[in-house]
Amino acid sequence: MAHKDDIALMAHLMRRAGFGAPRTELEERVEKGYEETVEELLDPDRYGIPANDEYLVFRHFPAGILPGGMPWGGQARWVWHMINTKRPLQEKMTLFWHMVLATAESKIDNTNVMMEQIDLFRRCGLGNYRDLLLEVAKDPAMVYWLDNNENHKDQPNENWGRELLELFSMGQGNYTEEDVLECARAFTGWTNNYKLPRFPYGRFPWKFRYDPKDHDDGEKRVLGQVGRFNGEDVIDLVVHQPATARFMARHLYSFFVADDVQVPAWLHTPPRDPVAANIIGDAFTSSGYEIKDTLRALFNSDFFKEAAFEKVKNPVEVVVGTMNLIGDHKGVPKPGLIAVGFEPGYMGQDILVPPSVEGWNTGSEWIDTGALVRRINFVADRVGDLDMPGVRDIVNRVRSQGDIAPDQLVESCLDLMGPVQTTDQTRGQLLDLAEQGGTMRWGTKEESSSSARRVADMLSVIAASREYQFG
Amino acid sequence: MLTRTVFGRTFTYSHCVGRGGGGGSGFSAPMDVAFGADGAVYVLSHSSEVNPSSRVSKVSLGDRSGEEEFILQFGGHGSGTGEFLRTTSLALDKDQNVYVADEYLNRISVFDKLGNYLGNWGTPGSGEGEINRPWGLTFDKEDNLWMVDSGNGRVQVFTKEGKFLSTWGNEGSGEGELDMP
Repeated sequence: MAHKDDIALMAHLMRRAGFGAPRTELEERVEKGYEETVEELLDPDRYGIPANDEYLVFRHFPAGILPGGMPWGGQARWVWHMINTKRPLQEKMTLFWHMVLATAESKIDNTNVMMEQIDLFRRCGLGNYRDLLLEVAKDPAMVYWLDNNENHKDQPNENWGRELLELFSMGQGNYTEEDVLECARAFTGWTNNYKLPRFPYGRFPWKFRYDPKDHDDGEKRVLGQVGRFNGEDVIDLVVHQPATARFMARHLYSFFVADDVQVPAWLHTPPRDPVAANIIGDAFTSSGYEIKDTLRALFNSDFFKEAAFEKVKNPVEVVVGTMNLIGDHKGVPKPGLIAVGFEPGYMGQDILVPPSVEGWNTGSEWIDTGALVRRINFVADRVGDLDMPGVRDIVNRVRSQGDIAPDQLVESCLDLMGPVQTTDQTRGQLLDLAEQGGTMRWGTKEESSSSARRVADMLSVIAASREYQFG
Repeated sequence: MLTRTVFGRTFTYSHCVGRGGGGGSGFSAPMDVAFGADGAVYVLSHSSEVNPSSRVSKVSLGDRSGEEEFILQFGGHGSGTGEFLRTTSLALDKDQNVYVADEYLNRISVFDKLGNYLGNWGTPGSGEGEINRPWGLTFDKEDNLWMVDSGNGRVQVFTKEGKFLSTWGNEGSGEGELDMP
């Protein structure tokens, strides 16, 4: 049997590098070993881990592929991918890049084009950062989102150039206004084919197009360098900046390790853990901006292993993690998937519709009165559903211990839901509840039924604890 | 003129019927069509939970754009009798009754040509005569219903009343095997 500490560490890894995992998977991964699991998460191709079959979605959920302007179809498709992926880190990085390189359907108004960007993150998210930026600069959704289709040789539009420097690479305080304008000039001519009107025939696919006639080929001065730069040259200049390594390290730290202050405060506030940020930044630079190598250093570090429950779960982690725990919406898409896709939005993270190019504020800002109630009710309802295979598995594991005292019921449920770490106060409250039912017995049919219900109720109450909001 | 030749037969584009919609002459994620003996066309909408309008629409095509007409619609989104959750296919028997497959409810619902509900049949499972995600439907010359039993990787043949007659095909990815047909 796997050691409890090994399970706890593996559960921590899978919450961060994925969306949590049921106990059986945690036990299998502990057998495989921590570092080997990290390698499998980083490089699923090498381990022969299959990708999701998108055809399953197309076949059984045809409304999800309609190129509509409402994001629900894409949200349901993406949530299905997150719940069903055998490559959880690939999907988690897709979410990471969506939160950093934030693009919103509210302007794009074309779900398929948005989903092509999500697939770009899925394909390139664990690859080289320079290559990813270049792909993103040519992504039709991003081109339109940041107005680069309005960035002309004789009339530059600085929106993409500014966000490339401010939000996608270096961060505020590391470039000048002249850099922004010169950067914009370098990306003139990087546009889309015509954005056809929606009516009367609906939405059409968009394609990136480079228009050399609309490109400003003149000399530019960007980040202290002078030359007749094109967009690709600027991306090369940007990724080599030390500020970019610091900025990306901080993003990776706050997404995977522990909550930091919000991005706009980074200019004036040092990183929460400067040593850890340096380690991540050094790995990023020394690897030639390889995300995979950077994450290998992060996941195998002591600072990561010691950071369990140092983050407030984002709404997607709440929803997808719950589905993984209870085993719902696994396999062929079934009715109810769209409602699951809506849930992160009800909790404050409407995927595909970030509030701005800055993405979402994170950490404690995920919690407000309405969102907290929604988070608790969503999880409590589902972990209390004895029809769910994951809940039945937890009940069976508790049952396998035979008749148990109330304190053992509390310990078992906390263990099997995470393991979840609690304060003595919370544990005492859970024990008060458990003691109301006395010793848990499984001898008769009535006792078995009542005890199963008690387990499910205990899981629901744990879901309502302060501690369960952390991951 | 748009033309396309498939297996020696040339198809020429005539006109378009329908639009996106939750009722009337609108269709919602249409999955299948069948031609009635009276020249009408039955269109099966899958729809979605956001705009739940699973149904069969009966329309006439007309000879050119603008001549199409909505005749009637039946069914509806739900799990009650005569309703659908995940429609996949429809077929008409010699009496022009309409058979609709539902892959989630694992049943065949039957209506007459006016849309009156006649009944349903189907038992979920993998045994003989049991079904798992019914997909394609068609009637043979004897008016027996051939069903692609997708989840079981086989084709099954039933009487119109749902009595099992025969089956063929094995699930798998090898030659001659069926993988989610």
